[in-house]
Amino acid sequence: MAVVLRKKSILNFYLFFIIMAGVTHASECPATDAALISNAGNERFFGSLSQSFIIPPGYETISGRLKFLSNEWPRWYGSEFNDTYLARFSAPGKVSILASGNVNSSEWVESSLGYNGETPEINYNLDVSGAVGKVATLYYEVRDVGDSSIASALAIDGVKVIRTHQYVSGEGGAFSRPGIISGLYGQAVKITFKNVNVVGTTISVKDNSPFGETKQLILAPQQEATFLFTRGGSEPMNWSFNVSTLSDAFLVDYKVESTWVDGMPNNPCY
Amino acid sequence: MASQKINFYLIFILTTTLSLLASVAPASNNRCEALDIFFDNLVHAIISSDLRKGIKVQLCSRTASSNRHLERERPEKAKKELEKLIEALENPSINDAHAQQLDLIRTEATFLISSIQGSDDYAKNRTISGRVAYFLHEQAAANSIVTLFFPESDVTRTTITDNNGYFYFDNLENAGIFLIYATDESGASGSGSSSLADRDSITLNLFLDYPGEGSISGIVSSNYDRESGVGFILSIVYPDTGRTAATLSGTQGNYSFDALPVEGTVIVTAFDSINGFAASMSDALTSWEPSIAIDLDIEAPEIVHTEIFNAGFSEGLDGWSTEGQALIIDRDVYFTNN
Repeated sequence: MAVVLRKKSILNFYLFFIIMAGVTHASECPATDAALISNAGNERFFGSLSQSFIIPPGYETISGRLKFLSNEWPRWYGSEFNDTYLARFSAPGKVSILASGNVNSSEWVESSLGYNGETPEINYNLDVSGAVGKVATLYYEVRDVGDSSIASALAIDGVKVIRTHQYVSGEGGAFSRPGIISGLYGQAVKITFKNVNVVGTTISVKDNSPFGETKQLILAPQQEATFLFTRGGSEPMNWSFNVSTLSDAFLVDYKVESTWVDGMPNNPCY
Repeated sequence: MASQKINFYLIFILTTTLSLLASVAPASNNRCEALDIFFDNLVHAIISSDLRKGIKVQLCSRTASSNRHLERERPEKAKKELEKLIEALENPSINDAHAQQLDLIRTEATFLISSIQGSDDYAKNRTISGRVAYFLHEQAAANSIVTLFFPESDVTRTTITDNNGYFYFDNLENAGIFLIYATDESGASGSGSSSLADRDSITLNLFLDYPGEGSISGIVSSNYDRESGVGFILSIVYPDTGRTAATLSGTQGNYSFDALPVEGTVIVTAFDSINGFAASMSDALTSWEPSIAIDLDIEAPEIVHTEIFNAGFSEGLDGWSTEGQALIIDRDVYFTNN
């Protein structure tokens, strides 16, 4: 009996330790929130959020999530009352529309977030390594179009910065015909392809996640190109990519880098 | 008396030597100061480490030399200094207890080497490719003329699409923002803009449209002094269809887009490619209002942070500029966690 109790108490101790370790680990995640901007009540008919900062060395990727919300859906869907949202990055020599859309171009579901409708999450990412040392501006806006009486809003999740040394090498391989790359990876996945053939080829990479992006390129012989995909969530997470081509001759090597690869501890922070 | 004098001189020499040493030692450490921002992370990794002062001085010297070579446009020598810095980290006199700090320094130095190397390689391999198709039926626009224009360097390149509508520009020596136009024999045309800065390959698709009835015109102004004689880059996106258009303003900021499709909402962005500032506006092109005027005012930021600040909104909206309604929300309510 005493032995059983002792075993139980040891078990409880370990359970307590494991739970506490989990709690401690989760509590080490940086505190993050989100912001909401709205065009309601603004005499210039828009709401915006922006920040200017210098890109330090080692910054490689900026990523984030947005959600568009509107009271124009469903009644004014398809009409000229068509509010827009925009997220953009600008720096000397570089401007990029990270995300843009309007009421009519979006997919909607009924919302319980204070607006009639909400869109699915909109992921964006950008390679900023070429802007190191430059003053960059991240800018988000939601704007009235056609009227100023019905409100729309843009929810902006915390901006993630991924530094170069956070990318760790994962698997690699080669394709001579369309195929799939899949596995457990982190919030950011970089896939670098090299055309090892003597003729050029098209290449298309589709992220099979819901609302995942498709990216495509033409690769000259011996040319390399990197495709970047990001998603919010605890690490690791499942990823699956369809790799395809329109060319007859297709021979590419690839290597995967990610913020989480097999063997790394789980990361509950998203 | 004489011995007192000798003692005095000995004390004087000792004091002077000590003060000289004191002034020399920080000077050695100071080699890590006032370097280009490019080296900031490496410098921080060195200075904040628990390594011996002598080792730090050695690493700072290598970093300063690399900085000097870069300033004098000698990238190979700059890389060499950083490689020597990494070699110095293998010194057996450095205690294993510092392994994590050494890893960080090594990572930062390796990144800088790859950045210096990368800037050379990119210049050799930059490409822009894509496909031109007709918007109406999405068929390939074979034999279309595609023109690429880098306004900052005033460089133009032209090519013709293949039977599948594909075009390809390689060995691009110019980086920065560019405008791209496509047109076919019948007069259908399309345009767009992007920038070639950080990666060596860009793909973009252009749609050809037949001339429409729409037009947008206006003036771009700025609230800061900027180089005269340089126009702004203006781009349009139609969110409903993904159509794009781009043009360059006059030196006074006046611009116009003509023969646009009258199709609904447009987002217009004006960009000052030299300073990196931009402004945007949304409006609609409709059959009852096919011509609209949009003036854009580009503002320089009032505050520039040394790096992104309060990215996760943990400190509310501190560091962010807002206009209109802006508030903090619970991300777990608005966004999923996986």
